[in-house]
Amino acid sequence: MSEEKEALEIEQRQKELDEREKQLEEKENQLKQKENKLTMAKYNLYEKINVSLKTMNIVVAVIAIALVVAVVVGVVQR
Amino acid sequence: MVKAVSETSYVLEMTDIEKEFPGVKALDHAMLKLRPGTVHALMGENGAGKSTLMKCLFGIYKQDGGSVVIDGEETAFSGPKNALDNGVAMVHQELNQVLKRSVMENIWLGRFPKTAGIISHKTMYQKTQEVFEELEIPVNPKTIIGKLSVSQRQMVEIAKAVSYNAKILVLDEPTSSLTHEEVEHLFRIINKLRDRGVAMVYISHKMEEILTISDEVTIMRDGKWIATEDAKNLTTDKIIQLMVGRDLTERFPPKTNQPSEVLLDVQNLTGKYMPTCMDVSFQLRKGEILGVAGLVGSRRTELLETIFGVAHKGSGTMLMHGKEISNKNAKEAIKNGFALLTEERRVTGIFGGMSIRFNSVIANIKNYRRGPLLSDAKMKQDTDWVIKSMRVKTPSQKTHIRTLSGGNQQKVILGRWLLTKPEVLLLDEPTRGIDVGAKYEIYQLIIDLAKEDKGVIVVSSEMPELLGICDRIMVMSNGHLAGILDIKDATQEEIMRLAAKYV
Amino acid sequence: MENTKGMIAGKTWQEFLLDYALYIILGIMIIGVVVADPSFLSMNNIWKILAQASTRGILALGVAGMIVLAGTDLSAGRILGCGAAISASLLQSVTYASRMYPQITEPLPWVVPLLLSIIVCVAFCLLNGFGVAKLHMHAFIISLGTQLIAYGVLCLYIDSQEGGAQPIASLDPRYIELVNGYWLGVPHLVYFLIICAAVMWVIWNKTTLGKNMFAIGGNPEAAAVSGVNVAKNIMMIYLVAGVLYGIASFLEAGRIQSVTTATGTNYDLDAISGCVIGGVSFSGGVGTVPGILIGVIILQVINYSLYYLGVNAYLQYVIKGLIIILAVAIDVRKYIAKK
Repeated sequence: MSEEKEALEIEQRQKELDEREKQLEEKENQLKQKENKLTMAKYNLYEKINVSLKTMNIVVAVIAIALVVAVVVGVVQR
Repeated sequence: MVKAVSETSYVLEMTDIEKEFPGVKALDHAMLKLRPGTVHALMGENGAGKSTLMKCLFGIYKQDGGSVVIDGEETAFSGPKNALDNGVAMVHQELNQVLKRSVMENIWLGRFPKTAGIISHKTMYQKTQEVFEELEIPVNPKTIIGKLSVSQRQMVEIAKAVSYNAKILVLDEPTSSLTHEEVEHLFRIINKLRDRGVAMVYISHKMEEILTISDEVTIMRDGKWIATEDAKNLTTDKIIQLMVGRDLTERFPPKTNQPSEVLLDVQNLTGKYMPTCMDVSFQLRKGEILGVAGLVGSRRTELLETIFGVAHKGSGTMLMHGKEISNKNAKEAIKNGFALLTEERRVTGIFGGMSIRFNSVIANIKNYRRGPLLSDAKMKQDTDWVIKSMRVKTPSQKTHIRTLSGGNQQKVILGRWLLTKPEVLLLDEPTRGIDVGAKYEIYQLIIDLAKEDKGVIVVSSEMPELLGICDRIMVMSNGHLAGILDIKDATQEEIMRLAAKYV
Repeated sequence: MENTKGMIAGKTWQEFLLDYALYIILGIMIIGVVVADPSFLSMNNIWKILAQASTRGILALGVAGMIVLAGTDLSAGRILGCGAAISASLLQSVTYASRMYPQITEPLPWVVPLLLSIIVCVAFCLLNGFGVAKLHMHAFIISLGTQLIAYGVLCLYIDSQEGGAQPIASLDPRYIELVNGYWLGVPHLVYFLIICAAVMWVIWNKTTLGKNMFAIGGNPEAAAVSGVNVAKNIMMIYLVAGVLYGIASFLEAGRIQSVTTATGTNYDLDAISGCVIGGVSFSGGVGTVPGILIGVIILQVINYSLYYLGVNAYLQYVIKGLIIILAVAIDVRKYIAKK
């Protein structure tokens, strides 16, 4: 009686493991897709600009501020 | 769904194709015979001549000898567009599409439907929808193609070929970026095309897929035709044997390295900028090959980059030979005896436009100074050493590295690092994109390095590879260290279990 | 996993600010001017601004083609100078004693100078086009060279006058009326701009040339593989630009009514700024005709406001320079941020 029970348990366990594996495979595939998009984009941009987003943010911010300052100075001092 | 190969005549016959480049015979009596309504796999290692053969078919190269016969008529295309107009199309591995434009514009580029000189968007849309419906492709023709997934873009490419009434379709590594379901969808489309009578050449390295989808398989090696067999008569082992030309009973070289005392001690290492590795601790011993397994996104590359100093460290300590060290940047890391072989050699590894000599000596360049200038003799000598000890196949030191095969490029990069005499080698996917034969050579090189008492850390997504050459395997999960397995306890299931621990 | 609290249109407020920094600043400036002086918004002023914008707009429609092709054109201003000089010199009042061509005693039909202006501008543009299409030079470099050549030609032409170099002025009153007149309360110039814009819209969106232009700008290899004759199409785009430059220079000469060697200086920078503000990206393959018009008009409004507010003329240069750099920086940032 307990042998049957054991066999059933093992079968169930096996099924659970199989499902888990399928889930993990799917997840891996999804992540793979995302990484693919990344590497492809990297390949194109690399050929054009080699600057990080952070640096660009600072650059844009600085220029914008300079512009505002220039306009204010221009308006105030006429 | 493998069709029984019938006695119908060939739609494409390439016979005795010869093509020589300076120093290299790329094609030597190569042959390919294609029947309509079949899927014909073309296999061979990188450098076996598959893409050269295809380029001769499409008129990108002009062959030195041999003939190309299509539907009984001798043909020589002037270029890909000429081939396309005559019903011979190719779906490239790296899809050549204008990403900022719509799907239908990409498909009809070069032959837009017009009414009285003005482009008719309506007709374009209708004709595109027709093809999509026939092939059951669920894509809206008006979508900007850059927003689609890779598999969808690929299907658009196939639809484009079909819209040219292609009777011969070449698919180059179509499934390398596809998920399981997407592959099934692709196969459904291929089956439809097969039923329509389209002849397909399927170039791939994935054995199981090839055995599932193809009717016939042609194997090439060193530019020569080796064999053509019905797919149902082949097995994975038989294919590998034919491809490599030797009995590949052992996929991995014998492990003759002996791990000894602790070389590198990493404690609670955390990177500075998320997402990155978090609180990782492990030890690397002399003469040990430590594998790093994990799913995509588990931050294994970030771990190596943080150790090497090209990614900023947030917190944690590293001890080498018991003394605390810090790799604030690559220069310091190299001085401390570290070497990093990056994941994407085309992007961050090789200097594509430069010679092998440049690529070999560049990391060690300081050591070639004789006064204010560099010593040519010493650089030549070291490059010779790289070519010899890494067994790089190349006509000369001056050859541009870009012309080498992936495997040989990787060997040069490895050689480059060895010139800096490192004690710890960090290898990120060292055998990615490298054919079966060259992989073996790289495994041998890694084991040899370990034999010389160096510590080697190998990041890889191929579990059989890690199980084949490592002494221990650490498993990363979502940036955390999930566990370290001794090789005798390591199994694929156990690794998978740990890889999913923090996901 | 991403924190969606406090996002506008799927971006954090910092990203939003950076992406739209230019529009925000320009918007505030315009609002500031209107608040400081509500009479700024008079119909009179608006037509004036639009009329000023018109010739630059037509020029911008031409330059835009080059930018979509992932290039640029630094010679547009000087080429316009040449076209303007030719138009003006052939349409001087026949009663003006020191006109350039004393042999002209009867006013020429205006189509003649227009056509000649177009021919000259097309010639320069094809020079640029040849360099880009056949010699595979970067548009930036070849236009830099052409710019100097055009300037030299302009100076030589103006210098060749009987009485030495002098402004080409005193134009035929009918020419002046043709360019600066009003019809139904709207300046002619605005109509000309609309017609050119409409034609360009058709070309960009409804003809093979337009589609090919976007394809070549987006991915020249994909275009070539699909059988597009890349060189020929590039030359055609430059040719079209030449026609637009010809029209713009003809109109500009009539508008400013005096052409000197300085005519056209830096017009290309205004045209390029207008395009970039209007969404034509330097990375190529992107742009719309309405966007260009909006960009040019916004720029013109800014120009006018600065002048209206009495901002120091030299400081205006600084401000305009900062605007164009900011526009391009934001464009660059957008493409890096696409990861």
